[in-house]
Amino acid sequence: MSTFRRIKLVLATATLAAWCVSALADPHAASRVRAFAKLPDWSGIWQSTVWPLGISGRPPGNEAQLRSTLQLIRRPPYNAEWAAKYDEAMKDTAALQVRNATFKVCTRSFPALMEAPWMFQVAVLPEETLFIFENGQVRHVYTDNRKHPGENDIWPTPLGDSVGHWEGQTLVVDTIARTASEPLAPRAWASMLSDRAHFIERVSQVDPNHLRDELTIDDPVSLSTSWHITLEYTRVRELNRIIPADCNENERNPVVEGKMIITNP
Amino acid sequence: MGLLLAVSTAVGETNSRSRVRAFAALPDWSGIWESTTRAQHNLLSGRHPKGEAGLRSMLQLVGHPPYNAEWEARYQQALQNAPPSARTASARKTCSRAFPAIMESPFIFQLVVLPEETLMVFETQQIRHIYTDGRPHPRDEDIWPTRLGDSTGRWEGETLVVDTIALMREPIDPRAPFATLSERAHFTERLRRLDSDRLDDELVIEDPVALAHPWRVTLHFHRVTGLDRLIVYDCAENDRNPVIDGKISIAPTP
Repeated sequence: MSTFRRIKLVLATATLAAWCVSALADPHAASRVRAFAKLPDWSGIWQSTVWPLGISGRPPGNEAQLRSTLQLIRRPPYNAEWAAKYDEAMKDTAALQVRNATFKVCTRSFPALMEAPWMFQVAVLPEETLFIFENGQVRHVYTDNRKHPGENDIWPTPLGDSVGHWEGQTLVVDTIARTASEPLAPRAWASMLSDRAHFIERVSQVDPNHLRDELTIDDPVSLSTSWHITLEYTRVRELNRIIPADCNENERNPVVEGKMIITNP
Repeated sequence: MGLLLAVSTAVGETNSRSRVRAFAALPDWSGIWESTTRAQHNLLSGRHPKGEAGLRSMLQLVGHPPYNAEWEARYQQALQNAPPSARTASARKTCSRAFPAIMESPFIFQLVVLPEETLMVFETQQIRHIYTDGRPHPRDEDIWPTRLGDSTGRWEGETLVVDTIALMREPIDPRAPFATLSERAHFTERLRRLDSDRLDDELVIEDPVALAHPWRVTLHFHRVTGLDRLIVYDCAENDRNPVIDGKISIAPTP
């Protein structure tokens, strides 16, 4: 055997021995590393393709163009009873205009958060996947087989409760217990769902720089059919870290007479 | 066909070998943690059993900073001029905290240890990002003060050494409204796990403008065993703690 082969053999044996020792010392750690090795790497910063924000903080084009690309502000496939409620609310154009002109939203509920202008990171761990948004909101998607809490231990929250599982490299997310009193999205003030709304997402990486979230919304109380929406995200290349979006306390966007404005530098 | 294969390979890739090796070398700090000062609070009332005085006796960041003569004089002046209400701050309702106060706050948090960074995810929707992949702090023209500052770190064995700068000039703790630091304050932390259920954070605060010498504080954390997930702490909008006459109150049990 050549010296080179002997060295390789010794190194391989040492590596195997070290791995065995660490596995025996903490079998949880070894299985955790094995689980991590099977997961995709979605590190980096992502943002919705609807919001390619420039230096002004505004999307290109006007409000009408923005609205044409937002999917969650579209009319949900309501059943007759909820369609009537929706149409009634949409008739109150004065109220809707006031809300549109004055809203300043520092956080969003789910699913609007997934179509928000805020950048986010995705941290994929064996136990859970976290969607960490620049405004501080975090979606925890538990992927270690833990269940939704029992009925006595769960209550509605803006982001609901999410559990998930991996189907290959696709993260399948199941979300319930979203606060029903919130509109589906800012700009869709008349769009509501019941407290029985149920959300399934299939999140996957379509290429190195794009993520896709295929969202299906079911609600036996308000919807006549399942509502299917596909949300797209692109990798942010210009930043090397998430900067907290300080929505309430900043000197650039004071709210004057109920409207958020942008001050000059 | 070759192109399709190349694309599917790129998309379907799992973590790279180097990333897995880096992950394997890191400690597993997963789970939920809380400051040991919080552990003594009554779970239902949310209050310390020995009241405000008992709580203050345990908090380290409400202590007297080792100011230099100039800042000490300012500090004493502020204490003398403050109305009693400001000194006791009985109507305070703090939904978030700046660093370093957040490390001694009642808010529980998760630690997410990744090869590129360690995240401290607090129930208040505040997140500390500690970059451990060698990236430096942003340059002067790209950095500005924030409530949690900018943190980079490195691993010394199983100890996470964190370097934090660029803090906004806020009181060091909500209960120490007159204790501030200059914008040149610099924080070094050494976080390590003592055993499976306890973490320590040895914090050194240096400030060439305000402090006469480094201020050393050790913060203690332990694992939360009663919860299996982090529940968002909805401080601003909840029906249990209405603010009445400027004071936070606890609504009667339904």
